[in-house]
Amino acid sequence: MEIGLNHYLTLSAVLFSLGVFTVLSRRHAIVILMGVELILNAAALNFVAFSRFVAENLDGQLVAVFIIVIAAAEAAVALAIVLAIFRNFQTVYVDQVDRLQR
Amino acid sequence: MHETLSNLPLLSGLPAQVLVVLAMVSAGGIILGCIAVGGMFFIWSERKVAGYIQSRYGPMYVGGWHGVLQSLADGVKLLLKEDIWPEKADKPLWRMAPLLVFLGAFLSFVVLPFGPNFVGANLDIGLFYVMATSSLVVMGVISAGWGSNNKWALYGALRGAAQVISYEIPLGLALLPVVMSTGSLNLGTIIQAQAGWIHNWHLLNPLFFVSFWIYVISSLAEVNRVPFDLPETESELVSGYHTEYTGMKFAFFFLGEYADMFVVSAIGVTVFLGGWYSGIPALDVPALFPLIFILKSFFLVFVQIWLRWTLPRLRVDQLMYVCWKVFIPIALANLLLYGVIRTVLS
Amino acid sequence: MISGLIWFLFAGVSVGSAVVVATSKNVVHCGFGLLFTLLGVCAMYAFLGADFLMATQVIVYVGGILVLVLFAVMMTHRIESNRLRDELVQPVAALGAAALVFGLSMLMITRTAWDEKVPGEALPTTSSFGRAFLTDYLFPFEFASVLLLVAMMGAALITREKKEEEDQ
Repeated sequence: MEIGLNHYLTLSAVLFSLGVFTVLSRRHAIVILMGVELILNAAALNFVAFSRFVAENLDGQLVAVFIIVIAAAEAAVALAIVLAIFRNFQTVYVDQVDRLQR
Repeated sequence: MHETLSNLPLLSGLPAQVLVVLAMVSAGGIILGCIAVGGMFFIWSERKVAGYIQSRYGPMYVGGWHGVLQSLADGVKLLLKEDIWPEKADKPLWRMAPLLVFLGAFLSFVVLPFGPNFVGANLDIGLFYVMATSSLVVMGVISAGWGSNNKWALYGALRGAAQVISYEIPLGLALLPVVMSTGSLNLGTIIQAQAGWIHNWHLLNPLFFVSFWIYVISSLAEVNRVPFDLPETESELVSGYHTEYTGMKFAFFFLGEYADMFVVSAIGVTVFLGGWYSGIPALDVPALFPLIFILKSFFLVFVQIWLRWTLPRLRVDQLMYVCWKVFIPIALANLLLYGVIRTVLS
Repeated sequence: MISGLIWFLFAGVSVGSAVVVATSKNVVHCGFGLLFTLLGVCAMYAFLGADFLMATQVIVYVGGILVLVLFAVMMTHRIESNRLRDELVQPVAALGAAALVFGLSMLMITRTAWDEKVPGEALPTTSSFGRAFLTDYLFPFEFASVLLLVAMMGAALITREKKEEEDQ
């Protein structure tokens, strides 16, 4: 069986939907972050698949590298914010963080 | 490799795809065998070196000459041991951890260049790939520490993870000047740049010499060896993240650790010590290449064992100080200096 | 044929572990589920001939982001008090939304006539990456490094303990 573009796009769509599900159904801030990582990975996979099957150059892979860079920066800042919230509110559940001050 | 297999008389009738699978399986088997035999040899030599450093003999009885088969006997003992797990362990993670640690070592072995045509996979990104596989070991360590449901194991795992991801930075930065000089991440190409007399070895270039020492010391931290063995300190954390493991699972951790020691030594040999070249052009015949490469790597492994029985252990804050405030600035300055010199000279 | 089977194996691993991320009640299990999803995507990059990207994925995601995530999980809980749980809230609505997203993308994928070409031999990409980063993509490359520096400083600033305020 030949693996073509549609296989990759379908896989990516599945991962993207699971990421959306995770972001929508969770309250734990770090799990929501994991859902965001799933979504970013699905997008990067699409870029790389298109760069191989349609564009036939490296541009898609370069975009995927920048996605990974952004994901790293986002994870660092988001986790720092989670730690700060935990210090101030003693919780990591986003629905319990509903006050503007301690 | 599957072409070689198809030439064997017994297998010539089989379809190509079956042969590909057979080739994959046998390549995996060969690497697994190398890791097992090498690991057992290193464990034996560690005990012998420790013995002689402490004015005793070490294992002497099993296998006749100087107890060479001691590790084999220990291996059989570990295989036959009862598999005990903590009652409140997080079972999936606990079971997965030894496999992840071992997988990291196993995957690095694939690219080690024992000779120009004697390499599992001649990847274009070889050096980068080896750095990547060590990340799997970190996940295995965290998984072991968390899954054991034991505070010593968790402390050990967190220390180990923090240490390994910190020391990956000076390790990578130390290798970069050599990569700039050879213009390739392929391990074979890096070795071929050091052909000829011994003065072509990267070690003897003054800037690479600095890199080499940063690499060697960081690699000790990377494989959790003394003086950086904080994750498994026997005297305070009762051997850290693999406290709760017995039998075969413990054997996997142990083998993975010794295989990792060999991998970092082999990468050091590849990048700085001329790889499979002996330093004397007359001795560089292809038949000797794997032997020279393995002997040099064994020497670096021996240095690691030697240090373990010589140096005391560092504290966690000293460990992090050395990494972030000494090695990373020196490695960055070294990289910059090499880039400037290279630009000026060209 | 065999490479197709191996492809489905890796695709199955990434989808299965993504399901673990989406549904497991234990936060640490979610983290390790994410590990296998990332490794599955990494295998996909290998199938797509993106060797440099594959190694980058493992180093940055597995060695960096995931370790950071697990550290954060362990630092934001009292380990003894078994609070590492996260129940699913509004699972039906979330499932509906996710199914809608999936349906729309599948509709898009099947209805569009992609200009799909038969790819040639996968070549090593590292040197082309280097050239692209220092020529056509120089500005995004430098911008990304500045972004990383700012993110690092910001993260350090946010997490730093404020000693004088805690005296109140």
